[in-house]
Amino acid sequence: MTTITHVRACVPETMVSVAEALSTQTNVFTDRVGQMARDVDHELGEWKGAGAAAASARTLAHQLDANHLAETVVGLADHYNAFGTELAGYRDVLLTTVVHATEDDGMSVDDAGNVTAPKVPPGNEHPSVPGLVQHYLDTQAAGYQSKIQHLLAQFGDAETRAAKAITDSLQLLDTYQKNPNSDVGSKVKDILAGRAQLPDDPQQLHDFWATLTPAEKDALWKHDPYIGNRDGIPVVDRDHYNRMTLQDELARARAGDPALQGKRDDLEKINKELQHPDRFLLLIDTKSGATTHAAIASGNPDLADHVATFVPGTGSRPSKSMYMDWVDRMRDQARTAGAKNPAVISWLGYDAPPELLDATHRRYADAGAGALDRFQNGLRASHVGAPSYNTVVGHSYGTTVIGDAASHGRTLNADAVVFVASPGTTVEHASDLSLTGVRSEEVGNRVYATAAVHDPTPLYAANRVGKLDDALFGVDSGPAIHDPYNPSGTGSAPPKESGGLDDYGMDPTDPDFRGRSFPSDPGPSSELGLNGAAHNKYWEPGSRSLEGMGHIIAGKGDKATQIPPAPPPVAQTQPVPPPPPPPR
Amino acid sequence: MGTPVEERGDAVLQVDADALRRLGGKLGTHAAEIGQIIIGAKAIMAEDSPVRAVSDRVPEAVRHAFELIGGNINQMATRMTAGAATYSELEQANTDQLRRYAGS
Repeated sequence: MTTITHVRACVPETMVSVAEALSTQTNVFTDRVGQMARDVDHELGEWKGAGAAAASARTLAHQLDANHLAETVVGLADHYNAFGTELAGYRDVLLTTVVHATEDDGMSVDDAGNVTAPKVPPGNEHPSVPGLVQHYLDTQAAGYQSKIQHLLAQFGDAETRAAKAITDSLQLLDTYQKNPNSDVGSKVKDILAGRAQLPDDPQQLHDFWATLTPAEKDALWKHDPYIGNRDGIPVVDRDHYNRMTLQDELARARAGDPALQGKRDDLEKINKELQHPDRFLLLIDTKSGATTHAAIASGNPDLADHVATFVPGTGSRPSKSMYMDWVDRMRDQARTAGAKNPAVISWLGYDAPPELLDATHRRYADAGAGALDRFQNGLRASHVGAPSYNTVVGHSYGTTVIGDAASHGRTLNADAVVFVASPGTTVEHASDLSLTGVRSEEVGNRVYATAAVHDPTPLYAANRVGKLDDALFGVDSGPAIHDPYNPSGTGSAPPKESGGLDDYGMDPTDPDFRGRSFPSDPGPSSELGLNGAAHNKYWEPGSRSLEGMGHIIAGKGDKATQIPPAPPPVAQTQPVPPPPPPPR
Repeated sequence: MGTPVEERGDAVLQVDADALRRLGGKLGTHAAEIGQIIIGAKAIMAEDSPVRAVSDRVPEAVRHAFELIGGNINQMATRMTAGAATYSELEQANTDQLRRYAGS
C-alpha cells in the first residue's frame, strides 16, 4: 500500500528532468551518427579505385545511421515525461490536502491516510452542541480520508504503470543491442506471408505493437505503407511511418504517377502543414476514399491531458484546408481555460459531401461514422498515463457524422461532443447518443451545441427541412457509400435514408433536444438577416463560440454554458421565413 | 606466403588512401563524442518505488546502446586511419563488420 511517507520521498519532477536529459542526449547522438554518414558520402565522393570498396563503406555507414536506438530512447523519454507529470499532479494535490486537514482543520492524518477529527470537549450549557460539532468534524474527516486514500491509490497505480512502461522500453533496447538488424520474428513473418493479420481491435493492436522490434515495424511498413493509419499504434510511430509514406507518395505525385492523379494538391498541403513544429500525421490515405483522407494533430495526443478531435463538414478535403488554424486556436483556448497540455486533431478521415446539395444526403455520414469510432478507440488505446479527457468537435455536416458515429448501435469513445452549426445529428435527443464510458443518464450533460443567429445552416434542422421533403416527395434511398475502412460493415444499419433531402433530426440547440447549448456571436448579417458568411465565423479569435469550445475541451463545460449571450441583433427588416438552405 | 601488395593489382591508390585517412580522423571524432554521452539526470523516488528500481538501470542501458553504434564507428575509423593495403581487403573488412553488426 502506498503511504504518505512514500509519496513525500518521491520527487516526480525529477522524472521530467530525466526525460529532458534523454531527449537532449539522443539529439546529440543522432546528430553525430547522421554527420558520420554524410562524412562518409563526402570523403568517398571522389573515389578513384574499386567502387565496391567505397560502396561497402557507404552501406555500413548508412546501416549504422538507420539504427532505431534513438526512437526507443525517445519512447523512454516520453514515458518519463508523461508519468512524471501525472505523479507530480497527484503528489501536489495529496500533500496540499494533508496540510489543509492537519494545519487548517486540526485533523490527525496517519501514514496510510486515515484521518481522525479532533475530539470536542463536552459542553455544560448546551449539551447537544458538542455532539453536533463532533458529527460535523467526523464527516469532514471522512471526506479528507476518502480523498487522501484515493490519491494514494492513484499514485501507486501510476508508479506501477510507469515502471512497466520503462521496463518494456529497456527490454526493447536490450533486444536491439543484441541484434540491431535482426530478422523478423515468426508472428511478423506470418503477417508478411499473408498467413496472419494484424489485430483489428485498437487495444489488441497496441499491445501487439509493443512487442515488436524496430526492424519488425520497418518490415511491416514495407509490407503495408499505410500501417501508420492503424488505430491503436502509438502516435510517434504513426507519425514516423506516415511521414515516410507521405514523402513517397508526394515524390510520385510530383513525377506524374497516374495513380495519384488529382491528389497532388492534397499531399502538398499536408506536407506544408507538417513543416510547423509539434505536428503529428495520424492518417494519410489517397486510396480508400474519393478524396484524400488525412488527420494531423497539433500536440501529441498520447501525452496530452485533454484531446479534441475536430470533424469538418461539406467540401472539406486537404487541398482546400486542413483547418490547422482553427485547430491551433482551439488548443490555445483550451490552455487558457486551464488544460495543461492539450492536443487537438484535425480529422478528415471520411469522404465529406463535395457540394451543398450532396450535404442533404446522410450516406456520407453513415460511411464515415465507423472510421471515426475506430479513430477515437485508437486514441484511447495508445494514450500514455492517466486517461485524457477526450472531446469530439464537429462543424456543420461534421456534426452529422459525429451524431451518426454515436448512435444507431454505435458508440463514440469520447467524454464530450460539441455540435457547431449543426444541420442535425441523426437523432432526436441527446440521450439517443452513446459515449463510451459515460453513463446513459449523464450523456445529455456531455452534449454541447451552438449556432449563430445569422447562420442559415442550423435552420435545416430547426425547420426540419428533410422531414418536410419526405412528407412531400416520399422516401427514396440514395446510393449507398461503403465504409472504406470496414468493407464488411459492422453496427446496425441506419434506420432510414431519403434520396431527396434527408432529415437529420432535431436541432441540437433546441431545448427539447436536451443537450446543453452555449452562445455564439451572431455573425455577419444581410438585409434578410441570414448570411452564409456567418457559418465560418465560429473560430474567430475572441468569439463566444471559441471561448466556449475551449472550456469544453478543458473539461469545464459548465463555464461554456455560463458565457453571457450576445445582445439580440437590431432588426433591420421585417422577419421573413427562412429559405430551406442545405447543410454545409 | 601471400602475394606482395604491389603485385595484386588492386592496391589502394594514394588519392584514395588520403581520403580514407581524412575520413578516419572525422569518424574517430564522432565516435569519441558518442562515447562521452552520459545521462546525468536522476529520478529521485522513494527507496521502495518500482520506478526507482527500474530507473537506476536507465543511464547505463542508454549509454551502452549508444556505445554500440559509437563502437562500430570507431572500428571504421581505426581501419581507415591504419590504411588498407588493397581495395578488396577494405571491402571485405567493411562487409565483415556489417555482418557482425547486423547479426547475420
